[in-house]
Amino acid sequence: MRIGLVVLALLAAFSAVPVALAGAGPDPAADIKAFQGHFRTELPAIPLAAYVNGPYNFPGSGRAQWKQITEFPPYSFAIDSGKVLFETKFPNGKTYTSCFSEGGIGIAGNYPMFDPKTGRVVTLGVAINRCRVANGLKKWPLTKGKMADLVAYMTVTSRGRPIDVVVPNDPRALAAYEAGKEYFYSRRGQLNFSCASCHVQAAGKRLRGNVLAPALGITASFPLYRSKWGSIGTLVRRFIGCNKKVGSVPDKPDSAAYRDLAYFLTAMSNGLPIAGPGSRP
Amino acid sequence: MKPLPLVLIAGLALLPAAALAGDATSAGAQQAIAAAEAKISAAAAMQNQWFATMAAFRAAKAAERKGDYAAAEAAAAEAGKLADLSIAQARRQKALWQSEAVR
Ligand code: HEC
Repeated sequence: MRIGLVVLALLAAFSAVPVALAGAGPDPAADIKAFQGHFRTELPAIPLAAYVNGPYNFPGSGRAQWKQITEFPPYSFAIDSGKVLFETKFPNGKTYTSCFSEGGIGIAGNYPMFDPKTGRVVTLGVAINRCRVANGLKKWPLTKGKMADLVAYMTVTSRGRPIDVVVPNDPRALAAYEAGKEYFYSRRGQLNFSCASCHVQAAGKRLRGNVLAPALGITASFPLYRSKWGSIGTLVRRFIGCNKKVGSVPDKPDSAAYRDLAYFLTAMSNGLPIAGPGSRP
Repeated sequence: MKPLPLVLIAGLALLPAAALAGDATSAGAQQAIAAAEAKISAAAAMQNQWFATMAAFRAAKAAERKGDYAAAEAAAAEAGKLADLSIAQARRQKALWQSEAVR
């Protein structure tokens, strides 16, 4: 069948095109479109902006209690404390406003950010620590405590604004993005799971009493108060917890691995609104 | 009594049953631990260390300190085996992760 063969050959030629493009290097814009499209197709009942509420989109997640506690949310102390920290002067008289664009208000959605000077990804926490060091203060741990409080305050001033993570056309930025993507999809630990195994393939399913949050919007409610922690924690605290779940020794909170992972994962939610700080069971 | 013989006697008294019964030696245990350590570094370099590896490794060192060289060798071998598995997993994922990626 000559015609059939020609058609097949044509099909092969066409189907080879995307493969060739994929081989051309990281394409964040295409990835974001595909990522958001995947969830829109798999879980069409969830409106795009509602993904920021993670597990609460699914039954059995404690949604009713969550609605109730949003009247006096458990993270409100963190916001208050964060505001005081934000406004307290450094010994040199400056404040955090001196380190951020827009004086640090309403800018959480732009993080993680690529820093062309160092060629590295800077999360909001890392940026806060840089500001502290630049003003003669010590770094804070990135996972909880004062850091989480300050991030909570800076995040609440950004609530409702779209996540807008930029991956510039700089080979170092693209490499960091690609490293984060690889981390997200690579299976690890003795259980042999990737982040995607749970938060993409099994999104919305239950695991030992927990509903697995879909990866889309998964960063938007951070920092968040978890009853299990009994305190507020940052995104990197969650990364550490999820690595441990699969039997994998976590990376350092300020490691390139976690920065790049946050860069990739947050970028996938570009356009969704900032919803943090949040609360979870 | 001079101090030296006392130390010797104390040392003999501490010689564990395992070391007397089998042929496990301190040197052998230390060699096994060093071998495991090298594999653990390689796994760390690939950003894929397993908790189980580290647990076995800690057990190996603890046994070695107690003088239970046979147990130390066995636990070190287990740690090395687990580190090898995590290295193999990381190598496999270098090629496989893209097939899991949403596209
Ligand atoms: C074995 C399944 C599993 C894997 C693998 C896993 N997680 Fe999770 N993750 C969970 C569970 C379960 C929860 C929520 C409940 C809990 O905290 O126990 C969660 C919660 C989260 C949350 C918070 C979501 C929210 O809205 O509260 C983030 C962010 C997250 N994971 C990121 C990751 C990343 C990044 C990876 C890969 C490094 C990863 N997870 C790997 C099971 C997993």
